[in-house]
Amino acid sequence: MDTPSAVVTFDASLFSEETIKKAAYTFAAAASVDIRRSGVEWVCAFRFLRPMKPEDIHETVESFRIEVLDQDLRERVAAETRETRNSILAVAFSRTGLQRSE
Amino acid sequence: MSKFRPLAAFDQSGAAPYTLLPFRFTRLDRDRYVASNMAGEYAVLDRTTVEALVKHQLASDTNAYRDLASRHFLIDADSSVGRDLLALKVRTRLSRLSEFTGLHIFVVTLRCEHSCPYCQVSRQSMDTEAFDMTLNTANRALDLVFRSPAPHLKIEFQGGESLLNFPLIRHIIVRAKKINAAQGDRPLQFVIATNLALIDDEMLAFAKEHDILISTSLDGPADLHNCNRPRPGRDSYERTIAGIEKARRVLGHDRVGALMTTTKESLRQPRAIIDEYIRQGFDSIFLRPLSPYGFAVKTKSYAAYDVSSWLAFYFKGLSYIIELNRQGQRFVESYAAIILSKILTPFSSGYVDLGSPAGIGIGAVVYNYNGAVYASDEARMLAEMHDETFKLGDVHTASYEDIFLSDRLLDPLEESVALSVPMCSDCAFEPYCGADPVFHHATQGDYVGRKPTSAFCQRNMAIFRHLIRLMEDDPEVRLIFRSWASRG
Ligand code: SF4
Repeated sequence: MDTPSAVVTFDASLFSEETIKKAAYTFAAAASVDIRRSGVEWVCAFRFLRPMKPEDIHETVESFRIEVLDQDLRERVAAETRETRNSILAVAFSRTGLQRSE
Repeated sequence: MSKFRPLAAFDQSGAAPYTLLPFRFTRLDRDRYVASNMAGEYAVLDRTTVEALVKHQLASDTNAYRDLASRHFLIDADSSVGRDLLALKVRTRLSRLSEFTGLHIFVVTLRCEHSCPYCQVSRQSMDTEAFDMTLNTANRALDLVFRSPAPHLKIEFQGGESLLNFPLIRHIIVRAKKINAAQGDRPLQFVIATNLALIDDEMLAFAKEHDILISTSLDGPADLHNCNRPRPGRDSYERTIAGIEKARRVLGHDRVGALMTTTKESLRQPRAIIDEYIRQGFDSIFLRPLSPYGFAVKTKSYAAYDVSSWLAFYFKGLSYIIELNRQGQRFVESYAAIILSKILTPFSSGYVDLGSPAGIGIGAVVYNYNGAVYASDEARMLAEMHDETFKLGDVHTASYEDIFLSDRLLDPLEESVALSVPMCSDCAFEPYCGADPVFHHATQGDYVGRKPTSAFCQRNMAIFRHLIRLMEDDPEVRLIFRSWASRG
């Protein structure tokens, strides 16, 4: 029996490839997701790994849409806080002796 | 502490200039998110609040804003020390790392009179020469123990059945104390892991004299325990219970602890297992998952049930324990307590499986009976399956530096730091989670693993969500969990 599939699209001017890829990765236990750029859109083709009811497919696709929006917010946080994060980590690890002396 | 923030909690008209501090967020359930900062402080928010926060639209005169500012999710002109304070808190959490290798496990023999089907390491052989640690090996290992810069040292004896080589345990303890005294007397603790079937008065008198803790195995009521732990006479349970009583009489009630192993048979009876622990006077239980190593894999007892059936068992057990606490019985589930101490206190746990960087080599190190040194107990079990990936060296040929600065230890440590692993790097539960490169190597073939399909990730994420939901939804559970956290 064929496993179910679904296609979801996103406006490529609003979402980066990184955002879409990261969101898709979190669904790896349920589906393989093929991501392609088609004109102004990202086209994400889901191939589910197991048979699923239509309502479950619908729910998974909806969760994926939310995950893409969340991932986009995460990218913004990461971009704004990158420097702070690195300086805090440098302080925190400075006395652990974990750094390797080459 | 954290509360669900309704939409009305902020007013975009009064949006203030603020800078975000690093934080991550993950869905808790349909409507709520968990956000956590680098120090592990968390807040439960709805999506609208998360979005407003990230887009700098959160109004400064709202409770949500004040809460998030006080918990270091953002800084503004009024909170200029926020960044430094956060750095300090992160450092406190990571302080475990500078306490390099406090737990040293000596496998004094592989021999055992039990034949438990899930045990990876034991041998029925009575050939002491082949499977016992020698005096020379023990002395070399002790030299390494005392090179550790850890402020506290713990030496644990394991087997096989460790008491089958009691003369060596005696030697190691006496010698360790002598070396320690000459070095300035660091706190030094000893634990004997034993099934207690062989314990006698002489051993107990020695244990009393040297303040030794006993850690035994109790899998549940007699039927279950004896089915899990076959031995000649089929009396493992009876011997364990008699041993616990005897050891408590001599050493004191609190000097005897017990650990359970979860098998397929256990999954149907979480309540009976917990009741057995209570009946035997224990005030906690560690509801453990079955390890994926060794015979457990070979005999298919690992594949026999999946993560979701273990989780069902765990949640059923946890809910029963919470019910007991509500009725006034103080009883703790230890895995939850370890996680809760990470969530609710600024201290990081020394628990090896939930360390990031991984606890291997740092939290614990294992000296096998033949002198091989492994990065953790699981690493030694993996070696029993002919996978020596985490063998760090040999006490007879390697120096301290060879072992603890070897690529075999540092590579998996560096690669698996959860902060930088795909999916973990975005996960709000990362400050409470671990890396466990040995597990991922054993189950997925690399140190990091693919987290979306990792049983480790699936199990822990479900537990983090469950514990946080329980606390958020019921103030009484929050109080109970706070008291557990102080023990974790
Ligand atoms: S292993 Fe899973 S639960 Fe743990 S930090 Fe990584 S993604 Fe989060």
